[in-house]
Amino acid sequence: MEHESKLRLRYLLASTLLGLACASATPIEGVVRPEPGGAFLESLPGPMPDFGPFDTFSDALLAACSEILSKPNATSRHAGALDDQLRLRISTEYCGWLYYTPDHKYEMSMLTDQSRLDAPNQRKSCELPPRVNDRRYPPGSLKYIFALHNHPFGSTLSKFDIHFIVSAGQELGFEAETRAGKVRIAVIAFFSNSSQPGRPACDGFFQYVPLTGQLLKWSNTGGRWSCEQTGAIVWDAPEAFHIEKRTAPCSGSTEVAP
Amino acid sequence: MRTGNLSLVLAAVLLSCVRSPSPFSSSTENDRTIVFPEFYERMAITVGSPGEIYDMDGEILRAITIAANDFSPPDGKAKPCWKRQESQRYRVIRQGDIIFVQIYLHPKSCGRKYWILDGGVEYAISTDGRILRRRFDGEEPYEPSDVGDGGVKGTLVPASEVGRTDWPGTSPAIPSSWLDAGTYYPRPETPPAPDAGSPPLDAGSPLLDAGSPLPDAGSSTPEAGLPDGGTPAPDAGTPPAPSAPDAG
Repeated sequence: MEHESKLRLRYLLASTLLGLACASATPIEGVVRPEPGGAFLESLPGPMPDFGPFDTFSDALLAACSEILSKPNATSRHAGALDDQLRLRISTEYCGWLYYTPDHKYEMSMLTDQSRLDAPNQRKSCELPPRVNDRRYPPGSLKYIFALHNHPFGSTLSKFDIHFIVSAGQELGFEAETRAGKVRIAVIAFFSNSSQPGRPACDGFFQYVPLTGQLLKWSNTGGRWSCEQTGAIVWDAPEAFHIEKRTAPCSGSTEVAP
Repeated sequence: MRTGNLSLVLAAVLLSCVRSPSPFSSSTENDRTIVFPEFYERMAITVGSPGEIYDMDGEILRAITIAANDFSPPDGKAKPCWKRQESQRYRVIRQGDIIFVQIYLHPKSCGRKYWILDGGVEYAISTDGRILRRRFDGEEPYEPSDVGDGGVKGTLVPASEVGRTDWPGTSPAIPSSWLDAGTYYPRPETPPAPDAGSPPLDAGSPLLDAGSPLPDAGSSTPEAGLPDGGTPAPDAGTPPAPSAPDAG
């Protein structure tokens, strides 16, 4: 009896998730895609409606985490009962830019889940265009701060992510001057540990800051945020890097009371 | 609900949304007890330096070939740059009777036109030529090493500092060749088209075509773009030189 209940639950879960996975052509609020059969997007519109503006990148980042993880199949921890291929199939990566405007505000672009690499039961990736088009501001006036995406399984940053952000840094700048000082460009991968489908909690993110080489893991434990350095990227040549594992607290941070 | 019915329903649902056949056709045992090594824990040796002499074990060659063929099957059809075997980079580690191969598309391989987050794959291949396991980027969660007091790792940070990038004690950690005129600031940007629509693929953006400060390996070959996976078109360029196992 208990066995049948479990099977029924798995069936319902799988059917629901697969139904969502099959609905890739279904419009998703805040997500833009290429036209069917059309070219890939080479810029993303901004700003994300009903999102910003924010005075600080921290506020914008926390809001972005919840926003991205709330998209369909952005997290797959709840699909643990399914086999690997099903879990891969039902997960989706979304990506977008957090940027700084001439009005000294932080905004997020619309998101996309476009990928020319993905195919059924395969790898997951997201192709993030190198430009945001915010019609309120002149072209070229935006400053790109964080390349945002989600990792459905809570994995750490990939070598694609590393190469992506250093390429972006070379084209868009490795740091941006803001009213509050310099902010360094970084790639961010949000994750949720939620075991229940629905609106997953923002449990943290991985971050790589090319200018400092730091690989950081940010965790949200019951509303308390902590930062840990998990390693450092060392460039052996302009195209080759290795990772020095370095588990350490993020230096200089302020201990706050629980 | 019987298991058979469950499988039938799942199979039906899966078939109903198949968009294209998977190129990953090789049988894979997917032995999850196999632990992949750290491919980036130290500097790799780049094979193929001009004038150097290299010697490769046939089992290594076979493992790379099996992985490459599974990843991008040689079907005789023209492929877009990002799907070609010669556009990928291959990193290899041998541990006992298992040869681990990592494959990923290097941004420069296709003229750095593709701004991709995630998408690599790793293989565990036995020395007798079987794929024991295949793992995609992001397939496994990060495993924390230990947890501090109260279940909190690292240093507590106020919410107002989350994501900060200016930690004290850090220093520039990128090659100086990436600097633009000695600064880390962006070079002057060529204004993009005012419309955020979808210009033709590979039409080239002002930013992407602005040139790279990186020394070019000479293998970048802009190719005729394709809307998406699958429908090959005649190649617009000469394929880049095959990539030997590399330093990534």
